[in-house]
Amino acid sequence: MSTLRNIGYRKIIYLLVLLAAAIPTLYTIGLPVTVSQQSRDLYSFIENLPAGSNVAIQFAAYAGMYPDAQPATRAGLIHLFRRPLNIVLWHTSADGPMLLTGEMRYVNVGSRVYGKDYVFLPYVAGSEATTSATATSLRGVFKSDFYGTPIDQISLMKNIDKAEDFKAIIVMAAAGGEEEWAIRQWYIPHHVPVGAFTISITYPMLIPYWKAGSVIGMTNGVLGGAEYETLIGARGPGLRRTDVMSTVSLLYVGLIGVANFEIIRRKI
Amino acid sequence: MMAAILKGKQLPIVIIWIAALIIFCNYFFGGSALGSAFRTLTVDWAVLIVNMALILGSVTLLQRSITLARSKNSTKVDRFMRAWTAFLVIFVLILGVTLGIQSGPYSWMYNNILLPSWQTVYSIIIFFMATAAYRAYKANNRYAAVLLAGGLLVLLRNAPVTAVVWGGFQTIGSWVLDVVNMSGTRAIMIGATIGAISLLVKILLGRERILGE
Amino acid sequence: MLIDKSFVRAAMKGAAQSKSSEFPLGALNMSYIIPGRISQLVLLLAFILFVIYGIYRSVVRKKVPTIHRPAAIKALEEAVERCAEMDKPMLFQTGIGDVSQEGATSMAMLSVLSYASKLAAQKDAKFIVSSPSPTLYPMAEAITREGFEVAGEGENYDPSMVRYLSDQQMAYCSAVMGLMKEEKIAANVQIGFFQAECLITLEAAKDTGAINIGGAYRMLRIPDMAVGCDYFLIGEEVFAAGAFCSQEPLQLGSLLGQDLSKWTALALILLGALLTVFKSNLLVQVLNS
Repeated sequence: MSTLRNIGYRKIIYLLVLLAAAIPTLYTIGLPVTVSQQSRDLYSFIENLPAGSNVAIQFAAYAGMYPDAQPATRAGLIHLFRRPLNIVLWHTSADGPMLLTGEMRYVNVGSRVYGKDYVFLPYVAGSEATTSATATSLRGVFKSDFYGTPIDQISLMKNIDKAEDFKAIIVMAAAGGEEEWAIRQWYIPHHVPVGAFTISITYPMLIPYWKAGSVIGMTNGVLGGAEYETLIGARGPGLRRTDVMSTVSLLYVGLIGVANFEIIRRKI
Repeated sequence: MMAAILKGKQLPIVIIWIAALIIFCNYFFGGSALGSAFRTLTVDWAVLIVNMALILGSVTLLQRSITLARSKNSTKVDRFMRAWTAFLVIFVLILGVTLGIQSGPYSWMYNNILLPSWQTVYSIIIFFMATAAYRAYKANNRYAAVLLAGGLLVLLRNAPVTAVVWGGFQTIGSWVLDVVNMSGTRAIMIGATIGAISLLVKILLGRERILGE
Repeated sequence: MLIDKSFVRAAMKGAAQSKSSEFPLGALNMSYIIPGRISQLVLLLAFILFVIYGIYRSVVRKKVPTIHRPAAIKALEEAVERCAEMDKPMLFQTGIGDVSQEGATSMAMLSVLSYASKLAAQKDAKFIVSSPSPTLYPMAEAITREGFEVAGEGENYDPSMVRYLSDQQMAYCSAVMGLMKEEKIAANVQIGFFQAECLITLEAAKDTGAINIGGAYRMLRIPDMAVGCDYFLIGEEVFAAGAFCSQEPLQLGSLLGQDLSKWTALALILLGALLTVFKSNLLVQVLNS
């Protein structure tokens, strides 16, 4: 016991967390996942969009926190590209282009033609001001696509310029409140519905917006990614990581129990 | 006279008033002239300012590294690390600008050095969250007990395995998030937005610190 | 009457029939406001007027409202004394955002920084400021220097007290953790705009034995602060702390205006809830007009 005291509670906790994360990673069980209403709403909305609808994607991925958003982002991209939608994607983070290149390896674009069915626009700095400007005029913000082709030469962009030309804006992998930018600059002034594939930290903050109808639906980090993978029927990193979520969450509950057991014992 | 105008507070206040009026009038009244002015403001000027801030940050960091490296109090190791930092920044900048960010070497560096480093540091949260939960979630009084109960319910909701044990964990945890958390979030959002309006008024009146004393 | 009624009636009729969406100079007519935004404009103007009233009452009529000292500010004062006794530095973090993000919180943070630097100078405590923001860094430097000069300890101010660390979140986090271990801080103050590195730096500070004083108005960071800090400010308490630290009539008066706005919002919420009980959509229709 004195050895444990000498080691200190922190190091014991760190070791337990390491084991709780490492063991399920190596030996996956594959526990089932209950799909939340928010993920279901987002999935239903995308699934029911009429063929040929224009969808904007604000790719806000930030490298540091991307692992939390990766499962949902990948599942979202697979779903969006599976449906016959016209997709216009731009980046609000400098890390976005590199991360998107990695994700698109897992997305089957099928017979979709770049420039006709989907377009990738580049990264422009400017945070909420840029989001506002894209809502009023995409051409005002982007002169060319990500590969340098002038926007006037892209057939998809001929009839698309402002927020009202889109049926929805999907914010992907945002870590700094980009969903709120989209709500303030796209939904409130232009009434374009907002969907969010977001990290778990941002999820509780979006619940009031979802209740009010400003956000059509959102996913909750890795768990939301697993839920969305279940909905689209494509197993991916989300479902592989749910075991880790379970063990680590239960470990936290156990630690809290131990901490409070000491208090109760002292009071008794 | 030019120097006096540039150093004074009047010019920034005038610019802020013009920008604020353009943004407000464009939002509430619309119109092509206002829309065009708004786009110029948000696209051209805002993007320019953000990019200048990025450049300022990089230059400041380099400057600081060089100053510290040349400082008499710094050790050899300090000097080496500062020089190494400066070299890396310049090297990556040249690589990105000349070869492009989609090029092989830049992509390799990004995917195999930068990305894993960032993600590793972010992953440390899992350990610190455990120690924070052990230390902070203690029912010392009524309010702490309520915090503890709410936290536990949400934790159990987020663990997929609990849905297999009992579906009630999901329902109760979702209720805590969708009702209790939502009302608190709304209250804080309203307060914060009103705070932002207050800051706007103070800036427009020219009495806020960012405009200088 | 100064303005002919028939002229006003004619102007209103003409404006209502006008199809132009351009805002004509000299006319004030609701039909020129984009539909669905009238109530937003009215509420915005009302809140602005409340703040102006609060500032007017405080600055012109000299009726400065008093606010109680936030517990976190009392803790800040004790923390400075602790640092002086232990001969260990206090670390003040300005937050990762720049002025364009969370400007209100940044301004409040700068007021607290000014107060903390003055206290540190008076008590002869070591003081370090770390800033990852290229726009906040020069402001933090100026304010810290000013704090030392106002306390009469200008010669003790050292520019290396204020350190610009990387603006990349995780790089900043690593740098701050290293700084905390190296300098063996006794107190860590984190008020402002933070991201995920917040919890990591709070725990790292705890590891060195420092006390944590925090403040955030962003919902995302409040749980981190609640768990990691010994004393913290939630939401508008950050603004109140900023006003308390500056003790400027303007800042305190603006708090009164904010409170009046909050009471208005609360009244609307209660009215809406009551109307919903009686199955009336009146308030929703008014707010959507």
